[in-house]
Amino acid sequence: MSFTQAYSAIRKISAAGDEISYPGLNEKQVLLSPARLIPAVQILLENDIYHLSTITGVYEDEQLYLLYHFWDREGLTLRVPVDFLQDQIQTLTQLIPGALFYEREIAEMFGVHINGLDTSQKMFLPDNWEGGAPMRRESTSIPVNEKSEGQ
Amino acid sequence: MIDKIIQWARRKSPWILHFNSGGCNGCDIELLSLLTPRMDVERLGIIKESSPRHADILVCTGPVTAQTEARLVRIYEQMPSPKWVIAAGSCSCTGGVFAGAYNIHDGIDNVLPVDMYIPGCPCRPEAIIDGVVKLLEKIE
Amino acid sequence: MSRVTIPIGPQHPLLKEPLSFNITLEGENVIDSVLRLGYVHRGIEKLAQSRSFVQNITLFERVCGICSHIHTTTYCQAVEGLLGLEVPRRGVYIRMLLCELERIHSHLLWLGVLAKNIGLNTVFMYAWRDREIVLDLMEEISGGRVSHAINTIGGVRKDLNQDQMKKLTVGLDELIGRVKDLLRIVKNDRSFKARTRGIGFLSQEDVRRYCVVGPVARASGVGIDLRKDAPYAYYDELSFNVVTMNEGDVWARAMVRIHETTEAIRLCQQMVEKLPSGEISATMKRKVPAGEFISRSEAPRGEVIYFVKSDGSQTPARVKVRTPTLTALITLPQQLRGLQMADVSAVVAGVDLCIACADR
Repeated sequence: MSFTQAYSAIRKISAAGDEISYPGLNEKQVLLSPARLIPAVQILLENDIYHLSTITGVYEDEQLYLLYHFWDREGLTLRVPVDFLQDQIQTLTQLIPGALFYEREIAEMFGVHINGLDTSQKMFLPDNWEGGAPMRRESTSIPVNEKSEGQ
Repeated sequence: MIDKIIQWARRKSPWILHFNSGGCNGCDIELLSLLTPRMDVERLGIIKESSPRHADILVCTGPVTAQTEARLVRIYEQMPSPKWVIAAGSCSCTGGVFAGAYNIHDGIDNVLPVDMYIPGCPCRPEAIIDGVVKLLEKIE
Repeated sequence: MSRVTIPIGPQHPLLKEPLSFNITLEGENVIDSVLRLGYVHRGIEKLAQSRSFVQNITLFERVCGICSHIHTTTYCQAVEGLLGLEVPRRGVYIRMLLCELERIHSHLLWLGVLAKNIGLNTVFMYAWRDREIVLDLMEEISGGRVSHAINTIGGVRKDLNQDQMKKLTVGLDELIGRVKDLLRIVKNDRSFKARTRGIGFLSQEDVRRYCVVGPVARASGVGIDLRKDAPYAYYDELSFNVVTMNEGDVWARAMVRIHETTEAIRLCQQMVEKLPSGEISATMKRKVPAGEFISRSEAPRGEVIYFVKSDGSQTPARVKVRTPTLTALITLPQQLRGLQMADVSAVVAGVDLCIACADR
């Protein structure tokens, strides 16, 4: 019951208003502007939906979206567009401490700046990494072995 | 005379150091299962050592990731001479399925001199024993 | 008192996989610990974007060697969802059978590692000896001890015959007795309990806040299990219990895992009994239509998610792999705080880390 309530409450603050549907998608999804992310997560937590499964970064044409996959007996995904010129994504770690590693992964792999997140240490990439964010579409990270052979 | 004894001991009781340089665990658990009752390599005098300073043979599993590269070389340097390296599993031979990924140096032989390759994904415990025995024959 | 920092890893007898953490000690007590991941980071998600849907099965099998089958199962479920492909019942049952065999294998392996880390070599040997029975069964069915390569988009590649079914029944019966023995040790053995009780505590509240899943969550009283709560495949046709404990320490995790092993054996027996006849796989359509699909399943360590996005081309536009270990790792510093140095090994083994899964 609370799941349906939360879903309709989030849809009210959604940027698109309407349900967005992608072909084949099997779980509920809501499009949100970055500023509405924190209020939406608060609504979820109030309804006892606490389980954040993961955060996915995905490209839709040239636009990068962050997908926050929540789960409580069924899945609900919050879809947030990222504007690399305006750092608007806020960290969720104050609300959900378990989001820490997901956010660090997104920050490192896609080069997304997340406000309030400490990214001074590398998480997955090597200490001496120089290639930029490897999952970015325009990324031209050369495999390390080819680099060493070229030298 | 002492040289002969050392040579004999080296031949009869190789001490193995295992290092996962970026593999998927598949070869690692096969390597560990060598210690357990089914395979029990200790009856052949093979002991799995934990410290590089006591080991004769370094058995590497998995491709070399950029982050482990320096550590792998350091472990190799800590081992006393003479020392040998076995690349266990397809990934550590050539990079396997991960060949070409941005973060890996494909096979172990890009970083260390390798004396024996054991292919297989994952390599079976019998294959690892066979590899070690063949290496010992080669040493002689 | 002066503080000492002890580095553990990436190569350390305590760890089977490279992970590094610095432990700050005051006397014998752990004050703080800092983790460093990334030693096994291979860039699988990026690699997946340059390979075809079918080639990727081979790749995802190697995300982790211990739970290889559940990764391919979840990935295939996602692609089948995109294709709208109906998998024949027999194929799904064989998949589930291997999933449960893998759970038995993973839990026994974990018990061995925990026992070794706390110095109980006997239990390590027992657990790994019994694990060989499961490995033999898996080899009998799929041809591989660790990597099975049995999944394909649309079903499975190998069928079961009567002879194999008979071997399965015999093997499972033998396992039941062995697991009972191990349960007796974990439940009653004084030294095992002395080394595992009351350490590595996680409260129910912590489990929720940190989004921890799997046996670690169930040992703290949060009974989430995707097989029950969001049944995929045909788990709703089988009867099994979700095991929970309330203690939240390493011992409770051991108990949960052993009981789960028994449940998994029961599930296997039911599946052998109920195995439907018919085809084992459906023909895959060449072209995967554009779309997105989220596939969830319960791995031995907890929830696994594959998010697959296709843009209609030969290769997936994005595959995201979510593995259960990542959130368990965040809680590790909290679990270690205030413990004696000697208990660190038990706690680290207790959460059943799979670094290859976490790093990808």
